[in-house]
Amino acid sequence: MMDVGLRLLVLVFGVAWFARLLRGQGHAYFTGISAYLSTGVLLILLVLAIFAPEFSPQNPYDLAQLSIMDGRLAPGAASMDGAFTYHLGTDDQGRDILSGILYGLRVSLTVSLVATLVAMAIGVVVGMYAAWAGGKTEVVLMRLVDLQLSFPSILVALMLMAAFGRGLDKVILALVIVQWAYYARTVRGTALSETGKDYIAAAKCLGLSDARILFKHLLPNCIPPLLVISTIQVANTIVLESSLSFLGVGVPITNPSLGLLISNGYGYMLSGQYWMSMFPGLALLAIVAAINLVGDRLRDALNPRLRR
Amino acid sequence: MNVLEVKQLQTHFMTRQGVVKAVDGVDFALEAGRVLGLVGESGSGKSVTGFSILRLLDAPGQVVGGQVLFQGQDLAELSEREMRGIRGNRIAMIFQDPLMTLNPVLRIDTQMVEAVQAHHRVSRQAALARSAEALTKVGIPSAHERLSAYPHQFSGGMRQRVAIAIALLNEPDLIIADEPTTALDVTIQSQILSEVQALARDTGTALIWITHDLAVVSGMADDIAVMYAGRIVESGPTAEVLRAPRHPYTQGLLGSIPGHGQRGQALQQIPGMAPNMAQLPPGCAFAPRCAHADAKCRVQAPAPEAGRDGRVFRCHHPREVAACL
Amino acid sequence: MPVKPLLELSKVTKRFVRRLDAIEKLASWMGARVSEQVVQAVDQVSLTVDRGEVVGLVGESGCGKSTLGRMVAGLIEPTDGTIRYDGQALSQARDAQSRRDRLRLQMVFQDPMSSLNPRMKVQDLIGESAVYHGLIRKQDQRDHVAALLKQVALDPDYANRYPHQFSGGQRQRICIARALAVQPEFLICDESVAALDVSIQAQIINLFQQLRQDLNLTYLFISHDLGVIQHVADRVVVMYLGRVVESAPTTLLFDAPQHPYTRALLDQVPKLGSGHQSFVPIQGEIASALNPPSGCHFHTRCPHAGPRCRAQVPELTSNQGHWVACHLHQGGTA
Repeated sequence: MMDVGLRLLVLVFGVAWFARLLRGQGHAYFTGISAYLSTGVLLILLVLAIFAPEFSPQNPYDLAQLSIMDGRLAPGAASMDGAFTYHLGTDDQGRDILSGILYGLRVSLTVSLVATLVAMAIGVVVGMYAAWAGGKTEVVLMRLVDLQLSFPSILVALMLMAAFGRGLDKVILALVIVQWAYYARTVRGTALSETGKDYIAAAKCLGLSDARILFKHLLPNCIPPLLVISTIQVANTIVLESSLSFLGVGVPITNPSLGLLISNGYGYMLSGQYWMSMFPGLALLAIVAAINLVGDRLRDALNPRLRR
Repeated sequence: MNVLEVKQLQTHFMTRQGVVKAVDGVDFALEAGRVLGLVGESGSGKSVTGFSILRLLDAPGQVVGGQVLFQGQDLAELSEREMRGIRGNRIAMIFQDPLMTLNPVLRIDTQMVEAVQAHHRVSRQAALARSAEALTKVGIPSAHERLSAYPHQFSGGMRQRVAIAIALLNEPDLIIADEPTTALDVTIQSQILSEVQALARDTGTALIWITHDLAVVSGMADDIAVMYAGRIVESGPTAEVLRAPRHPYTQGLLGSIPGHGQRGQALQQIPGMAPNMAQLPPGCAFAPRCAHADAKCRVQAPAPEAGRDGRVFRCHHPREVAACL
Repeated sequence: MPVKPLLELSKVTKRFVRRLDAIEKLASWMGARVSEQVVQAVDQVSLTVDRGEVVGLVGESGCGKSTLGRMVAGLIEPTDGTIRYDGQALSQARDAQSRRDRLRLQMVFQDPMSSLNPRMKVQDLIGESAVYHGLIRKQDQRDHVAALLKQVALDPDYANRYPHQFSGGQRQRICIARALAVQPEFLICDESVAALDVSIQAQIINLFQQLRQDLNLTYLFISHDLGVIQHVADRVVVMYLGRVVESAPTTLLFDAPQHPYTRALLDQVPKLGSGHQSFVPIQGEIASALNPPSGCHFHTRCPHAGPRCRAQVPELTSNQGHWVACHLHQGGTA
């Protein structure tokens, strides 16, 4: 019960945060069918992911529930004992694809959200400090950022995972290392323009300490442009994580994400058993597209220059 | 004949907060060679009037009523293509920020030649010659070398002069200048004003000078029109209006200007704030801030009344005050 | 016994240097002609402000008045020279004691839009510093802020709103209230009314006058608008390209300006009289601060310039309280 309550809280928190973001700009956001559709799809997928244990017909990782006799059944087929219909078919181990997708969504989303948040936190601190300190500190930090950004993220992630080994936390770590620089660069730009504004000068005149000015005055004004960027970055992170998992260096088998599910079923595509790869693939497409569309709408809606 | 006649011009902006009547029944006429100073504070509608004449409004604004007659021709009847033939050719506009007129990635000569060739079929050589001549006319030395420069290589005052030169290229009959010297230093403003004065004198171009600076208008405009909340509250020959204003807003405005012997005393201040254009009160828009408003002012908007000497004012209780300068 | 001035600037200088970066150093080493760019924003400026006085600092863009104002406020460090407040040199350090000492000098900025933190309520904007420095207790913040809002003629209920809900004039009042919250003695007003409409400007100017009387404040009023300066200032200091060219009591300066630049400036200001004004601009363009003229900065545009003006920088000398830096009044321009 506690667990369900906690998850409900997470959902409510997420919706409330979104509503606050849109405060006053709802009309600019909901401009047409695509806005409603993408937000609706995203909401549904989020609910399914958060409440996966409740929604999924079967817990695919509970070995007691599995029967290898049910392996590789086509969508809509019934189980051997007739008690159960596999709406999207089963994989080679007899696991229900539908359940696998729900749990996989969960893993994909959790990993990406956590990685994005941590990367954002690190990026914001580094970017803000670089803009504030100026001089050699800024030069060194920004060159580090440039260095990081000049490598293709998938390449760096692969190398890191090869070094770290498998594990959910290691995947998150790799994703953070690959992503923080992007936020640092964006925040530095915003921080530079904000430090030039008179309210920071006024705070200095009023005798506030540097630390207080940085955290109470500068930081809250550097965050807003990031909110929209980070929404779209979550989608990119999902894709990155799926690529890693597809290549076998991502999440462990015990806790598969959508990428790993696609990977598992990949070998069977050519023999006509498409469902093992395709349905997780479609789910991945849905979540990434929904996040991108929502992020895009958010950016337009929150852009003060486009306001009417 | 009047170069420009504006009759009951109305421009409304359809916003979420309601209809904003940015320009609400503006009338004036302008003859060739005359300078009209259109004066007002922010939100008065003076810039929107300028844009409305040239049909340069962006949504959600649109001209909803009235007529703009340019040399007898109703501009609303022209197609967009014909209107383009007039803009930059027979009516030119100068903006407050020269960076709006000048494209930062194109050289000056490219932009000026483009402005000429858009309206006249002349060779590039001829267009360049005309451009150099225009630059010299506005007081930019070594015009031929300066033509190949980029806008960022000029100072602010020079950029504004280039913008004026572009406006003059095709020898327009009317120039609408929207706060062109507001952002410039006094000495540079003085240079530009002297050049513009000379040009108006020599070429007979009519000029609408939109500004909030009464002193500038006093120095160079033949006629003045004071705007408040989208309406012209007082207009007439500049010297007359400034010597003996009849409308309380004009009087208050003149009294607010520091530097005229009020040292040590409080400046006359118009109480309150500029009106919320989406929620204008019925009756006279200035009534909430007017010390002499009565019940009639709050209910009925005053109609324009003609006084002597071509003066017009909109007030139920115009007052004579002792010279307030 | 002469009263010591409250604020004293001695030969204050500020140079902005754009050093060569790594690539340019390399290029220069290889023979390219790249040099450091130095802007002498403020050049050996000395001036004083007595307690209770309003000194107007006037000049056009690039003259250094804003830079000077920021140096006095402690936002920019002078390259050279000293700034003494109430007899003591002001420290630029960022430690707690220095920051507290500087509370006596506050600044009101030009742009009311960007000088208020858009994410803070008025309550916190005004009260934060006073609570931070222990001038008032957290519990008293509400009342303190309400009193300040009343003092700047704003409704105390506004304390719960955000800056974007106010007009330019109201925001400027909030900025003034914020400066007053720490009980300063000295206010630096850097073009504080330049961004406002004429009628609002009059309200804020009147407010400044009122506060001066009520709180016995001293002002350094920086503006490019001569009319405003003529109205509020007791004494006027005129700057050109980083140097003080003239300084005198207001009526004296406006009635009998001595420096050619001041004369030209006063001539060119559009006057609100009847009739057409013929604008007679100063010849030439204002010189670039990167490469100022030798000797007297103004000699390239001065109708009275002579050989001495090109060669020698004129000293600021006093003639019965009227200070001028011009060879014309000090032995001739030959």
